[in-house]
Amino acid sequence: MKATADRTGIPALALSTIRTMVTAPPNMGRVVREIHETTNRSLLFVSVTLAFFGMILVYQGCMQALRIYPDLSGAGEIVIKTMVRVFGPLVTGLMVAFRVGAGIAAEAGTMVVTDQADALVVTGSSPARWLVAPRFAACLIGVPVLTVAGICAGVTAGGVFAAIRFEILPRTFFDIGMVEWEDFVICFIKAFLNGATIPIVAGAAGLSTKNSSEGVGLATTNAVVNSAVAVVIIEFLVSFIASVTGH
Amino acid sequence: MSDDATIFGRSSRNFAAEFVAFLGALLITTGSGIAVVLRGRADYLLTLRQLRIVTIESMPVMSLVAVMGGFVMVFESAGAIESTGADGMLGWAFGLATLSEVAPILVALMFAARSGARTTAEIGTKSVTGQLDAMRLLGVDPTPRLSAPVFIAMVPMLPLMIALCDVCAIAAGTAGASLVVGVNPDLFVISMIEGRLLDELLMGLVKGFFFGGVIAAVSCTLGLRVTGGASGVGHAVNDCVVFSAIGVFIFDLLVDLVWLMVAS
Repeated sequence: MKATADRTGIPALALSTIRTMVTAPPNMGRVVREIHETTNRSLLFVSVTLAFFGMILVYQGCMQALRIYPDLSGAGEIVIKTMVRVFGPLVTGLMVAFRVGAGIAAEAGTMVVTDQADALVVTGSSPARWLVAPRFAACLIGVPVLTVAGICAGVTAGGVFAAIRFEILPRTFFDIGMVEWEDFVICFIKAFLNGATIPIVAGAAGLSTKNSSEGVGLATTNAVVNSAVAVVIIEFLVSFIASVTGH
Repeated sequence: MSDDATIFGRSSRNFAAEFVAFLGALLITTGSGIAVVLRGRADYLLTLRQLRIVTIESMPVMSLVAVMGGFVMVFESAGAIESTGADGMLGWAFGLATLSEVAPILVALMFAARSGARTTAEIGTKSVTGQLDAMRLLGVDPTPRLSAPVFIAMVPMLPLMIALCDVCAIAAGTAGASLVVGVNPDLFVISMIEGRLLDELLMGLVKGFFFGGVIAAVSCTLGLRVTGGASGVGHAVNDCVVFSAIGVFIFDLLVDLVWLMVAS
């Protein structure tokens, strides 16, 4: 009998995670370890992908701008603004969904297959409390940090690329004149929502694992797909609200 | 979790050695997969099944992501366009970014997450349950049945999915521009057509072939290397999406650079 079967839907898991966060918050040592696991260990991956993305953005932006107008002095501002508003949170969120979401689901799935999840319930704890809540707390802190780090990596790589390929002076490129405070607000709202959603969606997929090794692989796949879709939907909703309210 | 096998998150001294070993395995899998495909020895039914998985079964997720991506692109470029007052440029800017970069990257990442991860999980499960060893013991080469169908399915079908998502994203962008941003849809579409974006469209589709090859190679290689039971399969899936994502971004930049060199 799977005692955890009734706690595996995304809404149910979200509710019990939030209840756990309020009534019995996970201890700080555990949260710090999870922050190390989710944030520090993803930093290299996130930085590498965002750095490539920054170079792609600069390259496309400059090549297209050159077709209309031969002055690239404004390219840096636009790249930095779109990086902060759109691509930083989006690409970082997708990468966290890939790296962290898959990890959470793989561990949760292995626990279900080896009956550890049932053992948690029997001993009076719950998967939400033991598995998801510490990672939920860790991702709330870690994903915004990763987003900022990713944006820095992307903009820096883009600036270096612009200096080498298009001979834009770094002083001209690194101009944050166009970035307003509301861009940062939008960026952080997206990052926080990503951080809150990914562990729950991935945890729900992991806990719904059925039978043996095949199940764990499929659950991990589901976790990655679902949390990536969730990231894109968050991006859409926040951009939509920002656009309607005129920000 | 502390002993997880995610190569890109591991502070191991053997990182370099493991990475080189992984690259070697990648080359062997790709080479043997392509050799089998060229000799026409890939399993016919398994190829059809793989084709169904990567196209028909992925379409709902792909088009949902493309629609969302199209809306986001049009909302976000609207601010920049409004501040310069160039309403007539919105369609062009949107179409350019979507066709050449955003749609291919989004589709490839979702493809890696869905089809790539699934391939790794399937091959990995066969590996940890001893089915691969059984095949080899019976003298059956696993390549025509496992990795060759994946290459045949992914390499041509990823551009096709990109084309589908281009259509979805452009439809969503046009709707978003007229309903939310307030740009006349006629103006939006005309500016896209007059922008002559055929070059960007083709570049996006060409990228698809490379992304498909990367995802097929990474997912098969990692699936064939799985050890360590259920958690091993989970970690291999984790590695698969991570390495596929890095490969996608690297090849995107390479195609960008080479394309302009060849075009000019």
